[in-house]
Amino acid sequence: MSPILINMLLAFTISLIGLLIYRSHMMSSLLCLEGMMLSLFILTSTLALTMHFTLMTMMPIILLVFAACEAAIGLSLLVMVSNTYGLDYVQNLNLLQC
Amino acid sequence: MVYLLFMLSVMLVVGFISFSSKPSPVYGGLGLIVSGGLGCGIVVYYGGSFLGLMVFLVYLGGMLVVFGYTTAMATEEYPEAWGSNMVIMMAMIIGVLMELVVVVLLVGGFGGNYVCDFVGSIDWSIYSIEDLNLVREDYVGASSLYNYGSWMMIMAGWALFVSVFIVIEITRGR
Amino acid sequence: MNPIIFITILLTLILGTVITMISSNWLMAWMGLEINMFAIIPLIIKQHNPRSIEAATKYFLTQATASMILLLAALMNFMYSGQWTIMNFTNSMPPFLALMALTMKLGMAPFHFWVPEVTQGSHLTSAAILLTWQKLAPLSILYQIFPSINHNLLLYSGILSIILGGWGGLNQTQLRKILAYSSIAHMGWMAIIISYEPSLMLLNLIIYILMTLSSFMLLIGNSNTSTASLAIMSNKTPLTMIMLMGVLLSLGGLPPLSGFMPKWLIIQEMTKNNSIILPLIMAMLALLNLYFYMRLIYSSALTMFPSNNNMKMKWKYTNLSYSTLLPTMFTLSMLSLPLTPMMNLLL
Repeated sequence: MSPILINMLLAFTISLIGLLIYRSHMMSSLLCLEGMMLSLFILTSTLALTMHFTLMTMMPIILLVFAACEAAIGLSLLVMVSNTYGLDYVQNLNLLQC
Repeated sequence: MVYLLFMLSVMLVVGFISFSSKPSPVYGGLGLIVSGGLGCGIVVYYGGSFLGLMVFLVYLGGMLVVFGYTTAMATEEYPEAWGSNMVIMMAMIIGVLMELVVVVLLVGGFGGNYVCDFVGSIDWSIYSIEDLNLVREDYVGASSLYNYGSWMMIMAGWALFVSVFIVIEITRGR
Repeated sequence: MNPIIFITILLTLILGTVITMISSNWLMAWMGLEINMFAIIPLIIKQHNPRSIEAATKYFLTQATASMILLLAALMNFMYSGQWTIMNFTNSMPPFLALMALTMKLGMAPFHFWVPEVTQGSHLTSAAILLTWQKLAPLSILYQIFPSINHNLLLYSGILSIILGGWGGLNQTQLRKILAYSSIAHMGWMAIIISYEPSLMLLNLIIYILMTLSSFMLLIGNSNTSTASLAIMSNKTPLTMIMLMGVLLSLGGLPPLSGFMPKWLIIQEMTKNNSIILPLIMAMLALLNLYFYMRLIYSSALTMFPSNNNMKMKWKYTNLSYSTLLPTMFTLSMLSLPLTPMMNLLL
């Protein structure tokens, strides 16, 4: 595996860990989701360009489209949460705990 | 030039550490912008100038403006930087240490396959002498999206179209 | 919600699942999962209260993470094998990641904590969709890739879901949380049997969807959400409460009812494969599920609780509208055990 791929997988893992250990702002969690998307984008485009899969180069574009959709829905949920609680702390989401 | 790409990816990982250690979203967005730019650099280095430009424009021009607006709407008065909280500081330090370990492992003789990975990294094109076919690889993706991947494009367009309705439905209130 | 927008979103939900089920490409399957996840969010948040917003947020965060991990698994598979087809993996890391993502999407044991909370926060119809229809797309992917997934990991995940699905529901009084825990336990049965005999997994899924849908239809018709509101229903409609008793006993898997069929066949198949201890543990842990179903039955159909007059007059304020499909669903979810010899024709 080339060093670039190792670094991309490490970047994905770091932002996944940052998402899973969510502590403070929901905005930071959404940023971590975007970071995972960004590392996947770079991984797909470098793979397509080094392996010369020319038809696979349409995949990063589709990935970006879905990243945009996901960001939009996540931000609208963030707006609703901060409208409800006044803050966007993840700790506030404790109404439904069993 | 080989090590430039490697340094770009190391800086990208450090940028990822900076926002996944979760400081205040203002600084986190800054880290995401920086690492998006570095990722654009990596993709451009591999020859995908169109893809790199697209990710940079979409991230910087489209998404991060909205992210910045939402952050400004839901922010606090004194944002939390990296040095202000012990946990953030420790997460940052541990992440940088992880990356340093990877760098030391890779540079110190572990990754011996630099040559075969970096051969095709120039801005290559396919030329054909007879009928003058000239194909750039990353434009092919966008053009084949209209031809072979038309169903994928329809699906992606439908997802964007519906997500507008979904966002409106979520934020509409009662 | 505007009816046109509602129909658009509902069709998009169905479209996402169908794309995932018919596609043989990892990218298309991932697109279907994403579209499905986008479309369920406004259905969860249909009534705008803090609980539904929280439920939608939790659902969004877990499912988005799971689909990212699934895409990473597909990409690593591409890196090792050079193809995008949903086939057997060649390396050991991608199926592990894919199993993690699919258990997170299905709400199975190590990643099951979102299921009761999201189900409790959403409306009853959305909860019914969430516990039945949303399981189809990840299970279809799991059905295609199960031979390359580590067998022991599937067994651990399944047995852990049966334990936690039985144990977590013991302390609950909210009906949606109880049904969510029962869903976790049924997912565990499906995950255990899929590596022995995948068609039995389909049979278990069909029977589970029938039983859960019929119990949800009854609860939607009476708009019951807690055990206390179920306890006064025997004054109002005694016959449907007896029907609910049958459906719940069928969910628990008692012999003359149709929920016994998948459990019987699963235990038979596993003992054929020389696995004796595991089906014994599973059958004993199903008693935990049966205990909290019995508690619901006891408070709804078997006793007449003393209640004041206002609570009996609930029919005045809610319109009683049962679904037309309710008798069919009841019959299918209770009395289809005699169809067992025909199952090898169907599956």
